[in-house]
Amino acid sequence: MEDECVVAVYETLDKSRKAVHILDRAEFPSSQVSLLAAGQFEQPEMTPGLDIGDDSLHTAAVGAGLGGGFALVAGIGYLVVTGAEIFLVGPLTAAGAVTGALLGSLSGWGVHEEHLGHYQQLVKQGKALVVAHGNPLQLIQAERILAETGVSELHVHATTGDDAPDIVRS
Amino acid sequence: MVSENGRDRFKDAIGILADEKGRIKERLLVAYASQLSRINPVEDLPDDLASDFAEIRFGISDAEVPYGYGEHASEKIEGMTEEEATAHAKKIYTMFLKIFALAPLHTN
Repeated sequence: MEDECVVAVYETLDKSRKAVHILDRAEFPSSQVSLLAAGQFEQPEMTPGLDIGDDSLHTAAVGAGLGGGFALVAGIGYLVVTGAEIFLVGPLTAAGAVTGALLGSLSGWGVHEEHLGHYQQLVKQGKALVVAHGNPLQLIQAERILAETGVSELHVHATTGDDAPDIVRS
Repeated sequence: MVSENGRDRFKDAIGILADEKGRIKERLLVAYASQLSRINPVEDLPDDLASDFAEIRFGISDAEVPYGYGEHASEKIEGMTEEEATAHAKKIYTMFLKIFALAPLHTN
């Protein structure tokens, strides 16, 4: 069965982190949760020279809120957390590749291209996205949970077939 | 009879109220959103507990209540005082005791 996804949009990173924590307390698999945000973050420790997917980030990632743990690093353009993997992107010029990879995953989970553009715009505007993917039963739970967490937008995306349009419920 | 889902959700909600970090409002949000929002009163609760649960649910999240304020838990809890949030937590605790047929402790 194809995975589908729920995309929740938050005005602030803090709200999105709390939502991810709530999904974790609901025992929603953390490997099926991603957080995407952009902007300048503050953190006393700054680890220079980090590359995309640098394994050292896993040991350096300390912080509260996410099942997999993540670090907020000063001066970073985009923060992308997918399950247990953490991508910290330094230059904003490099951010596009990482966010493109995640947004490519969204496409596989039933998100149509026009919605991808909308989500990209939201991230550029400083919003944070929480994406939960899984089977339909899991998503019913995720939608119900996330609806209570202060979302500004909440969308369920489902693919019913190769040529079928996305089913979007907002 | 309370379903297994109903029992598990209340058990876990009480656990969260007890061990979650933060003030009562934050704990209430996590307990409600992660657990109690997933209870279906028709499937999970007997008739004699359904009204108790409705009082809990619609006191914390009335977005789907006719003539309610249309607020989900995050907004509604944010607007509560600490005392109001504590009162809701006590209702959850009371219902937990009923579900598990436990005698209530004397509380202030």
